[in-house]
Amino acid sequence: MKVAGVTGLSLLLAGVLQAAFAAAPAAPDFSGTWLPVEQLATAWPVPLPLTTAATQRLQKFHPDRDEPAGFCMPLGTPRNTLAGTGPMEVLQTSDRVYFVFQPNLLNAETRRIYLDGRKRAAVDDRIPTWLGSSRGHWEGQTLVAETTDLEPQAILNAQGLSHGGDLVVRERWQLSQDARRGQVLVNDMVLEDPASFTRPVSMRRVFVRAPDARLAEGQCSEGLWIDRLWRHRLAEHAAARRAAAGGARP
Amino acid sequence: MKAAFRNTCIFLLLGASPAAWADPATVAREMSGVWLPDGRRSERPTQLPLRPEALEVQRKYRETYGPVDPTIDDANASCIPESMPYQVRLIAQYPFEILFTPGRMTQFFEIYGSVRRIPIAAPAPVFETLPTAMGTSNGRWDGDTLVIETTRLRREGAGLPLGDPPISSARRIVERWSIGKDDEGRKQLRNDITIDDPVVFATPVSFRMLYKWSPDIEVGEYLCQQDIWDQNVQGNPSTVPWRQ
Amino acid sequence: MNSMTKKILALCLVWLAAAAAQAHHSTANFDRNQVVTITGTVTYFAFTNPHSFFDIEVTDADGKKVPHKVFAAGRVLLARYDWKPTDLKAGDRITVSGYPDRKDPTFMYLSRIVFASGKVWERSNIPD
Repeated sequence: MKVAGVTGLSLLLAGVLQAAFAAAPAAPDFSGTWLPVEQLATAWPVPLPLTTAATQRLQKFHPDRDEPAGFCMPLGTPRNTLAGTGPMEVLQTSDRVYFVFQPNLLNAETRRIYLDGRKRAAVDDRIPTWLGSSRGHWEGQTLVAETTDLEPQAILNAQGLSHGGDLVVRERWQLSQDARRGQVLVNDMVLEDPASFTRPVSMRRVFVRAPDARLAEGQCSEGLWIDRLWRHRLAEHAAARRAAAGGARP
Repeated sequence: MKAAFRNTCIFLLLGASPAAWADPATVAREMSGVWLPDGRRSERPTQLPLRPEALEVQRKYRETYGPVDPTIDDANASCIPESMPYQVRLIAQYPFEILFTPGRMTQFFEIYGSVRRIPIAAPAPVFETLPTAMGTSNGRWDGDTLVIETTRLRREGAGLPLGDPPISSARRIVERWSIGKDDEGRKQLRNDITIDDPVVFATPVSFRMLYKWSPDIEVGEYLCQQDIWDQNVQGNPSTVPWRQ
Repeated sequence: MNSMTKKILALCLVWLAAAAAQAHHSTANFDRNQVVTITGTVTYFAFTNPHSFFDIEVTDADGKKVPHKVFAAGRVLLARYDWKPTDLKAGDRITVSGYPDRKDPTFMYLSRIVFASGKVWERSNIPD
């Protein structure tokens, strides 16, 4: 009697669970290599809705001095997603989605969107990073992501537009069909930073599948050039040591 | 004899692989996540069996550039990432993450933020690639072991100054990645590495790296140039001691 | 386990342990057989990668202000092992111990620090 009851309950539970899982559609798979479609990107709003502080920062920007890429620093988030200067690779598992960029640097930029429900770091532990801290979840077929704790030194575009430490980047990623290009990945992004923008800034970026595109291990300076500079420096140091030792060769 | 001794040591210390890991999908699941190199238990090759020609290249290099002062003449201090197997025989404190997606294993290293892509059982690429620090890799399952072969390794910026010891374009690295348990029963990742370079080495060089399961940490952001960039932003208020 | 196996195991551990992990950037210039301790005011702190460092002004016995420099692990490691971003900043009065540079007595590699708050952080917080 007891066994029958337990068995019956188990079957009922199994049925309920099966129905529950059958009802939820599988999340789409964004995995693969994508190329940005410049023609389908929306521009920065004109005029830019900037606060006084943001306007002053923009006016003071000098690309020779202030462009981080000139120091082999990354594009950072969200510039890596907005810039449209190279392929993007998406790696997706059940609890995370990674967006990888490799814009001619040795350092890949890996945006990690965690889907496991983890919370933003406690206030005492927050350290701004160039890639930011991202959390996301699926809403049907859309990946909804929020990114915070972004380093203000990471500019937003090549003109030097910048943000403050409280910037929140909200994104909605979904697959779509383009009549000419086939399957595309669409990113609708909103930038919220009242200290920099007088109203949220919205932009769209579109990526097309490019399975043959490669994220190359680029180098900020050519390997050979670095090697030559380095050997030159080694030779100088060695010569200095020999001179200090009275000209005797080791 | 040495190999037999090492194999005995390893067998006694680490124990046999559990039969439960035999299925590649299961092994891939077990390998996924964040790992820290086990500096104490991992092996380091101490004597490299250089061929006479390679010894001569090394001798000439040391005569021209030596003695090298590692505190200032260091590839890492110059942000020059070394070629494989550097990334997988890392310093103990920097983690890496393994992600499996269909047909691929990807490794994300905290050091330099490097990414290593290993296609599994994929057809050979149809185009030539330039040598890189990561090299070009191909993986396949051998029972419960992932075997990765890597070629096309960049010779420049080879960690130790090029020429000491030299690297040839014939270098081929074979790794055998597997899951086991350490002597305290915890899940452990193992990488048996063999460096085969018939131009430079008289015999292949083999050693075992071990990694600690570290689910409580995340791969952080490590930007090698950040100290110089930070100073640029601040107007160089101090000297960065190892960048002289 | 018989005593023969124990002996082999002991030998194995010695052999493997001898090939210890190396530091990312060579710190061979610091003399790890000595520890010096200084107290002073931080004038500059770089909480950064690949290594953090700070400048500290120490007042010597003659009342002269001598600048020292302290080298520490990179931010990614410090932050992982309990060094909070607010623990150290310019203006803080702190006590720090470390291994001195072999040539420059005003340069050291941090092994222990007492922050202005009284919190203590040790290099050994970062596991090997």
